[in-house]
Amino acid sequence: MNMTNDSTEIRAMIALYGSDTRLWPREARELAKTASSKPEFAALFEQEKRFEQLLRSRREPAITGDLCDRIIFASLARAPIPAIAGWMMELRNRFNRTAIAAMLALGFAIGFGILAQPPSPAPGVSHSYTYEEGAIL
Amino acid sequence: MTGGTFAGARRSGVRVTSAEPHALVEANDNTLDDAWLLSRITQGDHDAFAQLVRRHAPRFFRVACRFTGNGTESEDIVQDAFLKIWERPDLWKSDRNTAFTTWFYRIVVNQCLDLAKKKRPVGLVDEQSIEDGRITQEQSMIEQERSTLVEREIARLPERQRTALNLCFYEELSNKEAAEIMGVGLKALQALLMRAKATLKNELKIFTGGT
Repeated sequence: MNMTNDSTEIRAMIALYGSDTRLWPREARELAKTASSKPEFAALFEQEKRFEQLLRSRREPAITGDLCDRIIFASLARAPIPAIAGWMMELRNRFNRTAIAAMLALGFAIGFGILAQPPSPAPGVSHSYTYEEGAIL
Repeated sequence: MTGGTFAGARRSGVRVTSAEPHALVEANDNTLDDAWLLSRITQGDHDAFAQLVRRHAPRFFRVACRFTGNGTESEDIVQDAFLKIWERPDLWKSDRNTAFTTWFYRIVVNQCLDLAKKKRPVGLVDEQSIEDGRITQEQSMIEQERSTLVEREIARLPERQRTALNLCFYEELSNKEAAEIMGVGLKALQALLMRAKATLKNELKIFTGGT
């Protein structure tokens, strides 16, 4: 039963981590030793190795020599965005424009609403400057 | 030690220590350097930016090419991604527990996938962007045909399976890191990878002698 379990697990490990047992996780070290020493797994390892070689035959793209230079040169034309403007951009990224416009409008409305109210009179001070009709001055 | 594994590890900037042959360990000095460069870029240090570009642009160009199959578009994607860092270095916060490369992989991969959605399905790598160091012409043709077939089958994979394969097999990232880049759980990533490999093994069994 143990052998069957090991066999299933080894097959899964080969399929997941490949034919190089040095790249298997640390906790699978014992299993890797078992797998490497048993001839019944040799064919599996060999087949996996051929598959990996096939995948590696995929062509490596060639970088143009001046990509780095172009990036560096292009960055010269762009100034870093200061942190204070950065939080504004963060805000813009988080909320859509409608939401931001609504918040601004609400803020203005509250602000103007407060400013438009007359100041409340100080205690004991009358703001009535009209004289009673007939009063003798 | 022969084969592509360790050469690939060196190419991708990951160091395998002799004490831990079973694990690919991210070089601590590289990780710290990236964080330091980004802190300098935050202060407007253009030389630091240039250093970051020279260190990482070739790798991410390869990644982009594997998704887009087009050298020109890949260069544009990589350029846009780096310029985004120059303009907004604060986008990557060093206090997060994420390596710069992991974060940048996510940006580049997402841009590639966004581009793919806007246009035709992924095609083959442009001929003019391919290096060919084979010796004989006949051998070159056979290799080219095989490579074309592999490329075509990979392009036919569902997007997430293709991404998992590109990150885990070609970029040799750990399953954990690839899962983080893709925003999926570890089990989900492993399932995607195994399905991708199973499909390719079935489609390409004529070359591997599989059943």
